[in-house]
Amino acid sequence: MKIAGRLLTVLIIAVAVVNTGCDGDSATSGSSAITTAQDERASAADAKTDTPARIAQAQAAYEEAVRLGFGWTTTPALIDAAKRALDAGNGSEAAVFAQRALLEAEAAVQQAKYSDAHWQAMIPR
Amino acid sequence: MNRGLLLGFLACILLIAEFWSSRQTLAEPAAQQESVSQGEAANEIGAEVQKKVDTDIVAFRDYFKRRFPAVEFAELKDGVYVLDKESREQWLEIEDFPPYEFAVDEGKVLFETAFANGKTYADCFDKGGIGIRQNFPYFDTELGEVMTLELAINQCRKANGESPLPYKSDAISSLSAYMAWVSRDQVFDVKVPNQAAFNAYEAGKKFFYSKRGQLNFSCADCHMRISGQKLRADIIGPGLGHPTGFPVYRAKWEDMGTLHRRYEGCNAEVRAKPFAAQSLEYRNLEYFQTIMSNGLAVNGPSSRR
Repeated sequence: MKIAGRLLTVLIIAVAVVNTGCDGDSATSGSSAITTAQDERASAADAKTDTPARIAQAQAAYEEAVRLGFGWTTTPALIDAAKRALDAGNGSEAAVFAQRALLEAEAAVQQAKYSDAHWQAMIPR
Repeated sequence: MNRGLLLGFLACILLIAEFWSSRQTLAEPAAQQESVSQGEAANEIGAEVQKKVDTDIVAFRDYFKRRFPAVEFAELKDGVYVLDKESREQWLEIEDFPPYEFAVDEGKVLFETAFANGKTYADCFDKGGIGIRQNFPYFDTELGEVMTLELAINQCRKANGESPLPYKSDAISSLSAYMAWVSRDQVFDVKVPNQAAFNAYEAGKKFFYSKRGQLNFSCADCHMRISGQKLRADIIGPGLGHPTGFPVYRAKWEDMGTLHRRYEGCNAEVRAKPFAAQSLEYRNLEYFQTIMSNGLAVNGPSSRR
């Protein structure tokens, strides 16, 4: 009985430690999400003044990704959303969409370049 | 004096003619020799690239042998239905009254119907187009590109003054289905004959292993790494044996479709901008995938969920 009791105690402590770890992770990812949102708002505010240029940058980066064969289907919708928001006079929303579109298009170009250089390393062995 | 000059002139012409003739006689064997050595070099390159491809085939097969040790190589032509007993039972029941049957019938009618010039598809293909599915895709050395069956069907139409069929049309799926049907049990043996073909093969291979789309997935991620596992409600089929059953009747489409239609769907699902059916990218991909499936039998058309 004593052994069973000790085992139970050890088990409870182990579960508590794991849970604390998970809480820690979710807390970290939560704060990371908040930081990302803040960053996005901040960079959107910075971009607000130059949204048409950012939309053009996103469009150019998207076209480059397509040329490389790595365009993402989600990017044109973001570019369109940025244009619509801008036309509707909603500058801050347009800036957010334009920024997202640019980040996505640049990520697609990066993906193409990375794949070109490292595709052989992606062959499962 | 004049006669002497004339004789001298004639002698000169004879000498020049003899020299020219001897030069030609010498040049011909040299040219033949050059041609032979070029042929030998081409054969050497062909053998060299085929050796590299054979190494890839062995590695690809070994991967799936390790992954699914209980599955015989020849069974992999059945795709996902060789991995899951329940899915296989359902599939075999569907095969009792196959949903692609109408497409095969329609394809036969289309295949045998004469063009305006009186010729038929049979005039465009080896063996009258019967029992040749396993030879596609092949590398067309004159065109310098991969030739798929669907592209060859449209080339045949154009050569006979007909307009090409849209690649997602029922007509092209039906023709392809009929040509697969009359090739059943023939074994795929697609070759890589030269350096240009190897470049196309490598482009297809690169496509297969490159991650793309917002989800950052490669063909290999789904059809090698997580093959046999569930992605939502569906079990992912192995990449080995993929092309053997196409075209397929797909329940999701409620229609027949070619391998390139499936490629488009796969790319769109990982949020990558798809290429057009019969684009160079997808033809090269089909070339690579079919070569990896060499040794398996044609079992198209087929049905998929």
